[in-house]
Amino acid sequence: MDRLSRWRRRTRPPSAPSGTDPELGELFARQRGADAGGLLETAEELRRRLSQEPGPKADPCYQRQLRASLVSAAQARGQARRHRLGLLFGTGVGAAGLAMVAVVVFSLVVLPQPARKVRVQAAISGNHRVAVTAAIRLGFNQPMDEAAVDEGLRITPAVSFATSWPDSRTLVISPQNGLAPNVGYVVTIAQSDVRAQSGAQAGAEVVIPFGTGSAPSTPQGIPPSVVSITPDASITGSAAISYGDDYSLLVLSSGELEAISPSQPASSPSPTFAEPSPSASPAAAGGTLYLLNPSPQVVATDALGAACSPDSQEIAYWTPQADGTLGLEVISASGGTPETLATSDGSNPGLAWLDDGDLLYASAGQLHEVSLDGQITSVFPEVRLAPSDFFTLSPSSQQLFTTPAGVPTVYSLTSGTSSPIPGLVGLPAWTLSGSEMGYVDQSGGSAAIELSSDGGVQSTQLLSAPSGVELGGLSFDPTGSYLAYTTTGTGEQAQLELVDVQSQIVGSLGSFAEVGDPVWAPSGDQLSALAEATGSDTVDVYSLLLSGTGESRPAGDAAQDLALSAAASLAQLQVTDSASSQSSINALLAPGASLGSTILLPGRFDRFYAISATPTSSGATTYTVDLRLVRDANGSAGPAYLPELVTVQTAGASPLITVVSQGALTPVPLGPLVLSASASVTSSGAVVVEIQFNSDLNPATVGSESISLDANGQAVPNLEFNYAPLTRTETVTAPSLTPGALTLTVSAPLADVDGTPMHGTFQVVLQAGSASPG
Amino acid sequence: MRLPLDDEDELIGRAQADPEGFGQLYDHYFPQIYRYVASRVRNRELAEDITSEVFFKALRAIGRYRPGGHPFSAWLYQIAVNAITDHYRSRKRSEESLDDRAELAAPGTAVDEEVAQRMAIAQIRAAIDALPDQQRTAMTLKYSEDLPLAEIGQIMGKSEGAVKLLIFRGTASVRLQLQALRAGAQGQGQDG
Repeated sequence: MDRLSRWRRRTRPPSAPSGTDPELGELFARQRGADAGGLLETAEELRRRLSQEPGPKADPCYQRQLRASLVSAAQARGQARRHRLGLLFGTGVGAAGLAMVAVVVFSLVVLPQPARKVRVQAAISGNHRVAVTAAIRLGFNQPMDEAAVDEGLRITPAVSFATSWPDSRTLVISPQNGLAPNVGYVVTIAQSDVRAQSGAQAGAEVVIPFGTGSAPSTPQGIPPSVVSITPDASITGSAAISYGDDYSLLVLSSGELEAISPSQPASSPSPTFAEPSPSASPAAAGGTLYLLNPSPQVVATDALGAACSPDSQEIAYWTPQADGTLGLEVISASGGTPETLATSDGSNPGLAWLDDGDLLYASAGQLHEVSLDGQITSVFPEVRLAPSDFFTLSPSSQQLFTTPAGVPTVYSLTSGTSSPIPGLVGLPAWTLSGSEMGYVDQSGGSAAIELSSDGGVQSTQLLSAPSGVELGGLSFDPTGSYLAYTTTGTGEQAQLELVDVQSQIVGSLGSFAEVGDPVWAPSGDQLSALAEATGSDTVDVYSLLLSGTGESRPAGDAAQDLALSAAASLAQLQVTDSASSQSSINALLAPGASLGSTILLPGRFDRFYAISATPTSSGATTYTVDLRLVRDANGSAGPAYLPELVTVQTAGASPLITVVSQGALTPVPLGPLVLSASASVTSSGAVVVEIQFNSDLNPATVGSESISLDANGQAVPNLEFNYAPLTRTETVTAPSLTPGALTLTVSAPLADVDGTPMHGTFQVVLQAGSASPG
Repeated sequence: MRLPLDDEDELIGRAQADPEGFGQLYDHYFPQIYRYVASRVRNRELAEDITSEVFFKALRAIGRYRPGGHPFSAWLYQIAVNAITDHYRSRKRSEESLDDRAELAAPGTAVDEEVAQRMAIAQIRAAIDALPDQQRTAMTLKYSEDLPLAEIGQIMGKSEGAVKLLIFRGTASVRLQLQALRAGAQGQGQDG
């Protein structure tokens, strides 16, 4: 609340009628449309009945025993404290001292303790799309012996990590190099080390399985490419799209809601149709607002600008009132009856959550804050908004963007300062943390995308468009690494594009007659947009699956890229639990190709990765892609993978899959695994092989003893090794080598940071992506 | 019973310094904490288990306790609310609720008036049980424990405004349920 204190002008709530409980009387009187008298009557009955309820009587014996245990424990703690302070023992510890130690230890051991086993909770458990930058947080039901837990903690595959304890019930594990993308992990704590300060233990070893999403970033800074574009649904009329918490794509169209199956198995049900977002919805057409859980419920048939609270507990929206004004209503995400918190005479009032208990809206040209109990406060009184003005908040509610008197301006809600940005067009976009803002600037005549980390006071240009081309629809991916946007030129197709914020490399994702603002899936590997294809009279909902780091793509070999994309599309469909997968799979197949039965049963796997793409012969346009379909660990089984070889023809207009062969489901072994391997030739003629691992490696074990290259049956000499811990990538450089097929072999003594050596031998035949005479 | 602040400070000071002082603090606060826990879980064994946990946690942390403008009982309630939440997270509530209702609905041997009182409380409890968890917590603290809204906010880690909304929604929902139940009972009586 402090952030707005300098700007607010508090509006006093209406006086409450007198009642039995003044607090409740005032509370019920404030609720518009509520039967305050009836509620007070119920409240009085509740208080009378419940306060008189005798309740289960405590067993006097239990009560006495608990008291004795507590007093004993307090005595033992006092003795232990004195012991730590050295009051009991001087410099020499004699027999009496040892006897006292025995007494203290005995006291601690025999103390009656609450018979509660240690329980552990982790929000990430069972989530297959955890961000690679996430810290792992474990919650215990009682204060823990921190040293013991730290000692018994393991992460598989191996990760270098540090631990911290914000309090004795909360353990935070911070991976030093982040987590690897697209990898299934298991956190374990040995049962004997899950020890509480009380001495209580867990009933079994703690096992927490989870996995990471395939973040659309590549070590080389290559923007992700589209592996499939699916017109998921055709609709007419007004529409909106959003992602649910379970990554399902939700489409709201002319009063009809359709949930499109998630691309990965859902980790949790979506509580509402809209993902939590603090952003206001400018000038949205009214639509039907649904709650999907616990059972489908129509909340309002003409709702505007619905937004979930950051804690997903409440949903607020505008809805027309009988007197022609708009009412700001809020409803619990678990259902029930909505309450009206405020009204607005504005045609475009906007709505955004400041925090879990406060909303920001506009009425009569001014911004107001309203708390969930209906207390209204004016904020930024100097800001006057025209009926057509809108506003939006940054995700962390640190910044407010609006256009007072037509001047785009960013206000800092922490300092109260404002930054006019006259050249800004449309709406700015923020990263999830709110630390970085991107916006389209047209002050120089042509459109450019600017980035600013201080609310527009200073900015740097990310890219500029040719004259006559408009930019819009800015949207950062969940990691803040990529910015999706649209371009529209006169007489040209609209483009959906993506730019790598760091490298500034631009990638095109698709061309359409018209395309709306892109929306990122929470997992970051899928982008959706409403678009109209040329010649179509309907709007389609397009989902774009993007390739991630799991599929290493050597630059400069288009055919190899195509083969990898086609194989990745097939694998993606196999891990997608969707009834429409089969028809999509068929579209990738060459005429007459016959496939095994496994791939006809999608949804058995949680992720996939492509290790390599090898041409079947030199100069050929047919590649064999080595895939792994992975089933993450769960409560009953360890992780396992299914090897799959996919042969892809790349000669035609679009790649076709001709052969798929599968191995047996195999347990994922302990120790480092190769996720991908690729070879390329530099302009100086050096052959560079990049090998990406799933584990943090012990750098001392990476070298010629564990990694070798063979060309024409001869070991390649003078190899240079370079390990990048942040990406878990080993780069092997052969300074001078005649291009051709290379056999890469990786084996022990290569080991991870936990000392576990590589299991077996990894071997693959590679062909450098773009060969030149060496 | 709420102690004057000076007496409370003295009691806490003794509990921090002396094992028997903690025993006296326990004597004073046990009844209300046990009553609260029991009213939430309504299973004697479980209530005893959770109450034990609350006081052991309080003992471990009493040295770090500093008065913060709210009664000491708010701190104990906070520990109890967290312990109950932990319990429900770890078990399926539906199983628990079925057991609870069975225990609550056990026929008494009292006279008609007491039976009617028990039935009324059973209806109220059933209506409160049907509420979302946070509404249930706020309603119990308000109506069973008669705590001020600000103190409930302190216990639940929420703003007073958020607590008001929980109480308003909970009360409105319970009112509706009670009205439906009583209308149904009346209808049955007329039919019969």
